[in-house]
Amino acid sequence: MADDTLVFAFILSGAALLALSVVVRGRLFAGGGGHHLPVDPIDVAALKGGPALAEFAALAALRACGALGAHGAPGPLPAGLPRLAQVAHQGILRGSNPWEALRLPDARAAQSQIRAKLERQGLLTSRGQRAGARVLPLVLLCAAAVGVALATRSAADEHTVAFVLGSAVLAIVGVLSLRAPRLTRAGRMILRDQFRRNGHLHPRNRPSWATYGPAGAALSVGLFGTAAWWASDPEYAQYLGLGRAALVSSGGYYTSSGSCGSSSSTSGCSSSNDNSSSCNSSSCSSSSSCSSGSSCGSSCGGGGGGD
Amino acid sequence: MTGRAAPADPPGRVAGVGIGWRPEIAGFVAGLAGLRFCEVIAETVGPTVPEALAELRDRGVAVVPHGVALSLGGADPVEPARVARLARCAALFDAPLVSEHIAFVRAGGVEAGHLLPVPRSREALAALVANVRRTQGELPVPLALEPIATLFDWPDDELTEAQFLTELLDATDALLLLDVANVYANARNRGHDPLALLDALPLDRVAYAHVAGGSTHAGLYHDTHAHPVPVEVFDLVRELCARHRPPALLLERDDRYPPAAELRAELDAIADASGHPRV
Repeated sequence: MADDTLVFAFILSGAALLALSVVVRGRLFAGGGGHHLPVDPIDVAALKGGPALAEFAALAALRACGALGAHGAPGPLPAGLPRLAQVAHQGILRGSNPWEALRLPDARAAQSQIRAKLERQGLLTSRGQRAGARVLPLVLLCAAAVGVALATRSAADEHTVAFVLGSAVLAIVGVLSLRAPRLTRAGRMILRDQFRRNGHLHPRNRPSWATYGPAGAALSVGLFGTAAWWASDPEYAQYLGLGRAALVSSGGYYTSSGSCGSSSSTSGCSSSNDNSSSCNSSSCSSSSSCSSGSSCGSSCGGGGGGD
Repeated sequence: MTGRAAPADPPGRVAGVGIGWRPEIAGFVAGLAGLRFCEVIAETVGPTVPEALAELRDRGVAVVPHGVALSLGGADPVEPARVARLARCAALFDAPLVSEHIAFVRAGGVEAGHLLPVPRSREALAALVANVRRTQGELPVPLALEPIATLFDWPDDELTEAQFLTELLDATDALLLLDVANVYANARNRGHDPLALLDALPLDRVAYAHVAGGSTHAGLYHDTHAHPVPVEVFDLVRELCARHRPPALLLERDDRYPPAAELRAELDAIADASGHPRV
């Protein structure tokens, strides 16, 4: 009878712990209604792929507004660019290469500001939130351990089974919830919203960065990764030594962080000499228009005419 | 941006100022609140309507499939599969009309990869008329024909460009897609008067007009669709509209896309030159 009570108490408290865990985790990672907040394109990149992707997005913004030449030479910086792009440009002006410029103290400070802003907006989880979120999973694991101990001293088989099953559930949930998400629910919502609203920036469209401007270019890279760079600015992608590895899944989602960006120099990136997509930056006299089915018949083929 | 769908234009008709829809600038096109029609290259359309074009269509923007590979001016009959594809494209977009070029792009099994001019001979006209009629027989909507820009005339031309086009339109009852930039390019490169051609063309048959930019190389003007529209082309748009304003005019840009403000300025310039509302 005493064992029956113990089993009942174990299951009841286990269930209560599980419920509490779900509620606390849900509240902890809900975020602060961030989907209503205006988000800077480089912030979106940071949200999607962390500091590395934010670096790529900053460089894309500089490229789109002509502040970076095709072979790295800096041009005039227009007003209104986000701070990370500004400090990168300043570093390049002083002679650093893009990656060095993005690791200067000013750039690190700009990255910290982005992170702090995203946390303040409730889009990114803070270190404290993630640490706090690990408390209840540890309690669940402790409860599971207690269940195992009770199972070993239980006399009746059905009680042993109940303790083992209960402990297994607690342990599985505990282990799974040890991993704290990087984004809050609001952060995930805002990313979904950005993907939904910016399908035109997907690399399959080879979006014109000149037309969409620095914000569009940064957003294209921020949402769709460096594949966007190869699609829209292959010349500079090659200069940066970006790998050709597709970073876009069939669903259009960026599936890997900007691994090149985490390298301290371009030499750390996989390089490709394949420049077959460079037609996008060529003039109409290249085959780009014709091969893309455009009606521009001019210089293509040397006829000089057009439709 | 979404707004209420504009009233549909009658079959065969588009109205206002439009722009060639290209994936590279799809977001820009989607942001044109007053847009009533656009053009899509028919050969780039797959079995389903791209989402961005579906959104345009759903808000009342007419989508005109623009073919580039039928080879209507070829000596061989048009390929049924290509005509069927154009017809399917028209149905897919619920298009008011489709358009194609007065040109050939293949001969003897060789693809030129380029729009080539048709000799203005009686024999070529007969072949062209036959191909246009075959095509019209399969299309669910009217067909508009676009004369191309060329750097030369064939030596055995028997008809002037205006005569050739007028006879073609009379024989097929097709509409005319007049590319003002092509008129300018042809006149400039051949040393002709573009206004004389405008005066001689059946302008009442114009379904819509193309406007595009180009550049000069080695003394020849190339209709590149990759450079700004020159002021001379806008002047020609004014001259055209003074004679007979087309119901619609469309900006074509295919490469080296400029900043959004420049594209919008070109659209506004077309609207101002033609008297159509800005988009």
